[in-house]
Amino acid sequence: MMPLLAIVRVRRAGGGFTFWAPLFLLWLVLVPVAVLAAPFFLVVCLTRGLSPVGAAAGVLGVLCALAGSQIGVDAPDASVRIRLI
Amino acid sequence: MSEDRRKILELLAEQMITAAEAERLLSALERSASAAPPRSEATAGRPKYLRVQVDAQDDQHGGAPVKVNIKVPMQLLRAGVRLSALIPAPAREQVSAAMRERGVPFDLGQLRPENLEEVLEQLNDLTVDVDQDRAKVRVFCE
Repeated sequence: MMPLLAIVRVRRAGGGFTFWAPLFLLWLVLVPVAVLAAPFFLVVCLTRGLSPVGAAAGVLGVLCALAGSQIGVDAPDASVRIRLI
Repeated sequence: MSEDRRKILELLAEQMITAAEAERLLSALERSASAAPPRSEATAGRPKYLRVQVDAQDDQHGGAPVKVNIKVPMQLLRAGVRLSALIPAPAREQVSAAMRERGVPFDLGQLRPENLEEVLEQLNDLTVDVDQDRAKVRVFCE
């Protein structure tokens, strides 16, 4: 399943914030864009000798596999954590 | 030897419990272990995440510690390998040639989804530790 939420947590000496980014809204916005880009995608795949279905499945697989990723950086004056759910 | 069993034996060695008590504890431990549902071999040792931890020092802040913690789902590695199968053959050959030049004789074409599961299972035992004066890098699976 695609990540539906990104949690960005920033801590600084003077404070910090936590931002919950609803990625599902981003996917909803990107669906019409993907439909519009599909013919170009098809042409590029065919000219490069790639299977359009395989390429689309591969990209979709990477997007779906992003859920669960975490990146955290703790520095002396700030810390940033990004988590995809 | 499990952690619980070791603790019981340590308590016995330190004479904090008697031999009879240790025996009772060990038999209780064995009973609870046998009552626990067996984990399937397919999922038991399979790692779920690739972790990269970096402990370094920030020179601009007088050597203050800086930590980087990255957790990558194994599913992403699988998806990446499947995506790499889409790389056109000429480009794949170029990548393989470039890796060979750098001393890594690895052919991307040989990395197939059916081989990938075996590779990922073996990753469970993988731990890479790099210790330097100013930085420590640890790569492992969990």
